[in-house]
Amino acid sequence: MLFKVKALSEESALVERAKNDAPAFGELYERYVARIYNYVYYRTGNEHDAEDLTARVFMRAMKQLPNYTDRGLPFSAWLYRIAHNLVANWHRDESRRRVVPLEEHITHGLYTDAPEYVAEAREEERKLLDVIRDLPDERQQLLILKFVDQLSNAEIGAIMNRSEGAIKSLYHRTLLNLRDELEKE
Amino acid sequence: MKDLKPDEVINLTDRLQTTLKQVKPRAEFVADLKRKLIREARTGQHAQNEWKQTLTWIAIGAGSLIYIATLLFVSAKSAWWILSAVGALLGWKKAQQPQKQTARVK
Repeated sequence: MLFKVKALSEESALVERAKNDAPAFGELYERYVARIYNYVYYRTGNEHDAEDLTARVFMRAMKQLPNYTDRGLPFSAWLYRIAHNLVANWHRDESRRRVVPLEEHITHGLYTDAPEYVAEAREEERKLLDVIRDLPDERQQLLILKFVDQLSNAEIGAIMNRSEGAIKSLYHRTLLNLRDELEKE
Repeated sequence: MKDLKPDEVINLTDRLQTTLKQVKPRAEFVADLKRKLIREARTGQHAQNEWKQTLTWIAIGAGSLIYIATLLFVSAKSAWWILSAVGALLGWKKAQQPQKQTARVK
């Protein structure tokens, strides 16, 4: 707990410096670019839009940073909020794309390169990703924070501004949702 | 809606862990964006500093004008009082002089 408080204070100090110091903002960027990119990537489904939206997230963050007030939440919560809003706008403006670049996925965790296994694994992953992208925004966010960023329920709760119990409950409902949708496919 | 069985939870969690893996952004993209952001941040800070400087100079100028105007006003008012007092004094002295002359003649 004390470590968390110290980490938040250190981050708060960095955020304050970043308001007036370009290299300090660069440091903040380096801390969070991979996480934001992953979040946007899984929400959009392709690298090109993920890069474009990630850039827009940090541009917006830089412009709005002077107005940022530390409310005791991690700075990442604010960044995820910006990313969430930009992705929501992207979904509204663009037609839903289901481009799933599976190259990054299939190289992980496969113990054989037998074509039929690879094809089946790809198909399973495609199905799951399609179902995930049909989930409500907050459930998608929860899954990405939990499995991609490997965050605990408490950390996810801090980002999504919910209690740990609420996150557990949301996760349970999300799994139920997934199971039911996958059974339909 | 039937509740999840333990093996369903395990199965779904495994599939999610296999599918939702960390994707590394392109190193070139990360580096380019960082350069762009720092450049924009510096331009923004420079413009902000210039704007602050301009406002500061306007404030100093306005303050100086008000100060000078106040001084002049006070000085003018003081001068007027001084002149009035002197004038009043002179007028009293003049009024006094004919009475003295009349007294001498007598």
